[in-house]
Amino acid sequence: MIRVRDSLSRKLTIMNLMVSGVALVLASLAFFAYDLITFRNNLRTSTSIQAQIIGENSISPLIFNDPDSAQKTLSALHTSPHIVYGAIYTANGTFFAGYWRQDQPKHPYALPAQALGSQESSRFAKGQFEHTHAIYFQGKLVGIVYIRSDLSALHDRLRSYGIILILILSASLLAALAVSRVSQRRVSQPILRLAETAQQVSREKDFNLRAPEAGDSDEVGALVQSFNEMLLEIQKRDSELQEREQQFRTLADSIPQMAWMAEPSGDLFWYNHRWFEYTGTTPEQMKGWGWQTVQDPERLPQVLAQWRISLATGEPFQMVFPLRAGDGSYRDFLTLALPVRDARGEIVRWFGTNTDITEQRRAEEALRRTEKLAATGRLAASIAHEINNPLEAVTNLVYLAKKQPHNLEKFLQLAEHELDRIAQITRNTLGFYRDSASSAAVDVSEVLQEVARLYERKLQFKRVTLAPEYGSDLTILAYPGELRQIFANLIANAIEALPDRGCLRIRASKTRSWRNGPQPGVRVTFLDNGSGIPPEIRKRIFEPFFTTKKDVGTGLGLWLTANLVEKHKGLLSIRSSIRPERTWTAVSVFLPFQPPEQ
Amino acid sequence: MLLAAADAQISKPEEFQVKAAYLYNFGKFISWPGSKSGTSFPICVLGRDPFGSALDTTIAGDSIDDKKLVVKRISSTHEADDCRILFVSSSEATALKEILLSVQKLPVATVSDIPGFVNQGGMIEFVLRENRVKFKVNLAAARQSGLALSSQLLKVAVEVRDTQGKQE
Amino acid sequence: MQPTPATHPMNDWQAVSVPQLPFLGSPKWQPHFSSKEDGRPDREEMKDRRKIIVIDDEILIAETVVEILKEEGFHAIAISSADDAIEMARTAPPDLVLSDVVMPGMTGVEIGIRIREIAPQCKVILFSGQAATMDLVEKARRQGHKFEILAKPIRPEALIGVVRRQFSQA
Repeated sequence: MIRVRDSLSRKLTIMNLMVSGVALVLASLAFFAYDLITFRNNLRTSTSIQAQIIGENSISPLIFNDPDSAQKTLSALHTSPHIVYGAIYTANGTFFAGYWRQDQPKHPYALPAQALGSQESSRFAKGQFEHTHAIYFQGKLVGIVYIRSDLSALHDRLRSYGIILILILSASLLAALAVSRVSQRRVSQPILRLAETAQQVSREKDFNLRAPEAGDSDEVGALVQSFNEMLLEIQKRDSELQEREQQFRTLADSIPQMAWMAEPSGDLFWYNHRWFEYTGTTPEQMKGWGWQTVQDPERLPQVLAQWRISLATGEPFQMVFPLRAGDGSYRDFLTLALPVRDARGEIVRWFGTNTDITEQRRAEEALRRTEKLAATGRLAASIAHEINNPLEAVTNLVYLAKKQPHNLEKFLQLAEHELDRIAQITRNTLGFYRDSASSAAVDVSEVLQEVARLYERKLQFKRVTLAPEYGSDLTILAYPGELRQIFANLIANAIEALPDRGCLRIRASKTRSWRNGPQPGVRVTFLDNGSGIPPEIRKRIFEPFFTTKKDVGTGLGLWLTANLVEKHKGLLSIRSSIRPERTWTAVSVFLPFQPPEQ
Repeated sequence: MLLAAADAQISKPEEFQVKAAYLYNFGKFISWPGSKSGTSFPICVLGRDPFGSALDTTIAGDSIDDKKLVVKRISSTHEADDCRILFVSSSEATALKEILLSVQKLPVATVSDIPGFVNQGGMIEFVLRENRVKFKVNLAAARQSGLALSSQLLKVAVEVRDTQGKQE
Repeated sequence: MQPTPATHPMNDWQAVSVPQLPFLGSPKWQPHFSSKEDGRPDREEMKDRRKIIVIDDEILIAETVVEILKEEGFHAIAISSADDAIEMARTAPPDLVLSDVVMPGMTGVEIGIRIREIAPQCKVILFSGQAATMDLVEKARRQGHKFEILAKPIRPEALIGVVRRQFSQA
């Protein structure tokens, strides 16, 4: 772990020290510089003055060539201990008289070059200060004073200053250290505590912790506050997340469907309770691709293939297949799966459901059977109706035959005829509604004629004209029984809708449908000039149990017909007009010559 | 650049060159009373002129106090009235007393190289010390003539007397 | 195609015969009531001169019923068209009308109502082979018209019984 404590304290301390140190050094340097400058100026000034005085006093010795006198004047320089050499030179630069400090070797120095050019010159060179002063008497240069002093004084001063500086620095560093310690408590402690808390939270993933409040209301205090608020926020979010998770799980377990989630790779990693309830399996068994064990082995390859396709393309998965229950029985399920995508559109998960449609299928089956039953009932009724009349005739004829034996033969002949009629009727209609086991080649126009004959009486009763238009080559591969049912239902509906003396046109012709690619087949259209079907009813007309007839009929006719048309992979459509004076309805069935492969 | 070429004997021309220079320079260190006027600054030589051209050369074109320096050679003190500096040549050694007497009231700086000059009342007396031209000064004599001698001058004098005409 | 009257099984009833088999549809009849011209052997035991018309769009039924009634001594004629029946009701009102209900055009119920309007003393009996007739009769009953209805096939004895009952009920 990082030793935070040391680093921050050290930084602060160093910072403090550096600040103090730098300030001190800068101040000291400033003072030194100032002092140095002042010292030099003073030196220059004092030396200048001395030179001047010496110069004044050396005029006559120079003029009257009295070096001794000049010497005397120069000797006064001994009072300035920093002056190592003071001398007078004649106007042409020749040494005239000189003074040496006691410790100096007694030899004269050459005049510096600039001495001859200017009235006064000063130079700091080689640790010494040189000053020259030209002596003028009444406008004429009579000599030059040349003084050299050492800078030992200056050096002494600098040394002293240096010592003072070091002392002050040390003192201030110590003071800075002390101050550091104190300020640290106020500044770095909250930060250190915050850092510690953060580390702890991160390590233990415990979002209940909080950093201790900082007393101040500065940025650090704000930081601590924000940090704590953030932790609170995280806790809230956590609990919200948990709640949502809980909600989701509850939802997932409450729906009647089985539900599951899969990785983009296709591995299932979660199932809801229902799955395990139904299949009687454990999560371990079902993980990944373990669900294959509850599939019907015959259907499994198809299921796998389709699932793999969906995984690869990202297309929603939809399929109906059986799944094995815990007791070993199979039920049919409609399985749907959708991909869940992230912000970039990448699939992160698949979410799927299995809905038990066994009951639904059974119900549909039952419905169909009911309708069939009802249809059979109607059929029986229609047979009964149909044969009542011939039976009546035969009853009468038998009676008369007994009463009028001389006409027996005639009566028997007539009776025979009527009995034939009965036989034909029963034969036709009973064979009518049988379910076909397999498809066969069926001539559509023949079937239409058969069905039309069955409804002859009804047509006659309403005085409806039948106008058949049957084309040629209308043989299709179909289920004969079912085909008859389709036409029977549609004709019956048409007759119902027709007014007295109406007209029913039945058109059958070869054609091509373009729904799923070009498909050749037969289209049969039943056109009646009844009152038409309003759009809102047209929408619902294929719904099971939907009927506009008040107490007659089950409402299943068209639904069943639609089912049967679908069995043939055909198409059923209704068009209608309710414009006044021009009402009509056209029901159209398209049946392919050969249903496409299952 | 050594201080003293003490052993070398100074030659006469050199000597008088120096003396001429000194004469000229004395003028800078002596202040005459206000009564002394004139547009020029005559340096008079009484008696035989020992300077040759040295004095003329030394003072050539120069001025002291805006008064043009001239060299005047005179033969008697009567001509010394307007002299500022009067050099009494050694040729006049015998008449020294009379000369001094006649000029002692005049604001004239008396200079000579006659030995004992200052004892006799002369103001400045050239002497040779270690082959170097030096001079003695008689302050009282100067005072008597109303002249003031700069301390600078006195400084370099080998001897300064302040007695009134004391005779050796 | 019309067979000759000689082969017609009903050519004994010249007065009201039709020269065709019932299946091929019947042309309009000329109703014609004459006890003198029927050419039938007299039935001394039956001297009932009440007139019954039988209406059914199936001619064979109408005619056999008529024959049955004649056996019992009634005057009966078969009519297969509603309009003819009403016309007869106006010109020569019968005493009883026996009518099928489900017929193209007018139903037996309507015929019954019309005839009752025209000839109130005429009795009306309906018979039918279809269950749908019950609705029609029920509807008529609600409107105040009561009809007796018989279901086909009817045993001739039962039919005769109903007819006699109707007549006895003034």
